[in-house]
Amino acid sequence: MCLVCVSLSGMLTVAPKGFQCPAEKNCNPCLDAAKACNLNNSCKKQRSSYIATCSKGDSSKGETCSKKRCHRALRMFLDRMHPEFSHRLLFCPCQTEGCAERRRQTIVPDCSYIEKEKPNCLELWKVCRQDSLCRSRLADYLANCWMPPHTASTCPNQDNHQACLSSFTRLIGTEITPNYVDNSFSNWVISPWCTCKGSGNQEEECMNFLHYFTNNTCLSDGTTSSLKLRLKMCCMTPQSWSAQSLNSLGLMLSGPAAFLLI
Amino acid sequence: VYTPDKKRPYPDETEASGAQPSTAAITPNHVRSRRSTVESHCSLRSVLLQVRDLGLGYDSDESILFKYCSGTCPRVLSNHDLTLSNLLLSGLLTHPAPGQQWHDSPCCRATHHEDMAFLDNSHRWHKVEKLSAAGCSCVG
Repeated sequence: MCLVCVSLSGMLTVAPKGFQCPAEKNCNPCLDAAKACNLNNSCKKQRSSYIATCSKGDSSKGETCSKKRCHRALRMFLDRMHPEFSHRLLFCPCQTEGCAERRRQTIVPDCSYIEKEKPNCLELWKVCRQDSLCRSRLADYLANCWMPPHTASTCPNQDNHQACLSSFTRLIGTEITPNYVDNSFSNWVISPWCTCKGSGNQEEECMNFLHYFTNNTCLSDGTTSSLKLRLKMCCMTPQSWSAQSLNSLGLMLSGPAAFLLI
Repeated sequence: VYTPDKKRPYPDETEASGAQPSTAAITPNHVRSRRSTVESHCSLRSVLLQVRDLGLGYDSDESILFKYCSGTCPRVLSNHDLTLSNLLLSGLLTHPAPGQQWHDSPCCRATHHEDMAFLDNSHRWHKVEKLSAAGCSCVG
């Protein structure tokens, strides 16, 4: 009856690459995350607020949204919301493309992420360094998320995966806002909206910067090491509903105590 | 004009859409407990449902807590109501045609609303203004 959908350390996170969850059509952890947010008055209001700001402007009429305002609204939402809600929305462990697309859409990428032209990553990095908020948040991200390749542990600070996710979340709404590049659920890649094409003789330096996101073991595989602390979440089919299972779902929606330890 | 009908159960307040492959059509406990006091005063109620069940034409599996106003409103006659009754009785005012009748008792109505945002199944964001009630009052 109960399908394991999630694994993680202390909080819902992206499932490690290759982690298999039983295929279930109706199992969409990102929908569950949206539901949890909508059931919390504060989360619902703030989510509606940033979506309204970031959805302004009809692209079919040639209008564009204000990226600056959208970034500010996203930062406000992510700074104010407890990770119980924000991390659940951003890192829902998807097993379908539909779910992964919903996850990609969380930050309203058409406004907050995608631009007509893809700038060079080194150029983007330079812009970030010139802004105190972006600079400090990037430094925080590197301190909490970046491990050189071929090291034993996956995350700095005693494998503190949660600190990395929080630092990553704080980058959203800055000049180097990262996001999922597509709707792949098994081999997802996270990157800022930039490219290393046209780097001249600095391509290696550019790739090194890009790998902070695309080749980040703490961000992608961090959960593998903490499977012992795996939490599970149940996605139930309507047929399997019973009074008891409904109660447990009600509990799940009500707070962090909701997740059942395996 | 929406008139609260306390005898008619709200269809979505039950687990009616359980036939659909949905995890959303679950009535929160607090709704159920409020329903047990049918005669309660006009107040904010809520029901958890899927966006598609709103009947607004949006195809989305997302679940939202739809808040609405329901409950009884005490009938307090004002001089206005008294005069209106007298004028109707005396024939100085003609009775409105059927279907255009005014309400002679206060209605429980939403006085404040809130917007809702959601992602539809084609992965497009929508913001619907004044979708949910945020405050209720007896009007009239």
